[in-house]
Amino acid sequence: MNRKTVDNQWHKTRMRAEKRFRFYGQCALGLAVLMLVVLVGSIVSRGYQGVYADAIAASHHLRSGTPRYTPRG
Amino acid sequence: MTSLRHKAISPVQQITEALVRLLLWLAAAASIVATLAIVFSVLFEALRFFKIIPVSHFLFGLHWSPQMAMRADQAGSSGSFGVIPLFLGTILITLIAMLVAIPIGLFSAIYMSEYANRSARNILKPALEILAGIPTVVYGYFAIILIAPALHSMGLFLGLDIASESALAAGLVMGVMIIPFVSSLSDDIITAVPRSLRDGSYALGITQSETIKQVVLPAALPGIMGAVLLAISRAIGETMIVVMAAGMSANLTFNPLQSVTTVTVQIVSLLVGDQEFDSPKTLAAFALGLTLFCVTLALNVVALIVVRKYKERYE
Repeated sequence: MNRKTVDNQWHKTRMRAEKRFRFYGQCALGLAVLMLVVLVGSIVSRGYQGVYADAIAASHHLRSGTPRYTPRG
Repeated sequence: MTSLRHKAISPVQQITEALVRLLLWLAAAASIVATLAIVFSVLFEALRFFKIIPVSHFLFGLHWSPQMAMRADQAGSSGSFGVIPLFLGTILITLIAMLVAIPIGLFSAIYMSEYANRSARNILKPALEILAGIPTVVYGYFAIILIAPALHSMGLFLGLDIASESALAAGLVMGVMIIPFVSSLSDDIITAVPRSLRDGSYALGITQSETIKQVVLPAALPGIMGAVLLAISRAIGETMIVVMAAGMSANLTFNPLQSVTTVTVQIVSLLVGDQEFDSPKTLAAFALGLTLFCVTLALNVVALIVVRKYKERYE
């Protein structure tokens, strides 16, 4: 192996290491942002129902002859 | 020179100067007095505890069950105060949290300070800092609702028995909470490293990642160490996530798939409700506090020694 080939290989290894290091940074940042999104998403998806008021309307007519119950029953 | 300066300022200015000096002195003294008051109050109560329970039983005991009997004839009236299970739980959860927070936080900081452009950094940094602003009780709920069931399902799939309350769930969520402490502080510290150091390295034909590893990080090491220490202190002191995600049973285990408890959780549980302040159960909380204080202090001293040893000095 001549000197030029060795230099080229060394240069390529260094460049690969450079790209790998940058990729680690992107992965770390991506993971951190993903966790933030999952956390906020879970809070919002489960919590938004709390701001809605649900009501059930049931129509019921009482007849005038309906017996009234005393505390004794 | 000094006399000339004194002649230049008026009596009103001199009084103001003295007042400001007094105020600053009082502020500094207040923080010292507060620290001493806390340390001594914990120390005196802990000494009362150690008169009842021997120090060796407390430090080397393998069983923690602080329940004391209300009556003399009640079964199991002694109570066990071995602190080892609590410290094992604390170390385990802190370790898991650090395994999550340090690599993610540090690499995020390096990327934000060295590779990302200004506009991306201006968005990413505050976004990550949102994680630090979320209350710990919300993290606890996040751990119970999302992480613990996901781990349980994963365990079933892999044939592992993962408890519904596990150290792993608590540690993972705590790690997420601590990421901004490491990333934000480290980012500030890395950015503060002088530009001339980087330029000198590039002039020698060193690549950017090599410059970061061999020049920037050694120069920023004391600050990064400080950020990591702050994160560890935060993890050791965290209570709410542990109560909700890891449970309160003092198991003597280093298995992250089982339920454990920590020192701070036990301090809370010992002091909640109506307590007699002369019973070993209540006084144990102060002994735990004192031990935790000593451990944290030792950790700080070790970190200081490490920083001094590996710190690169630049003129």
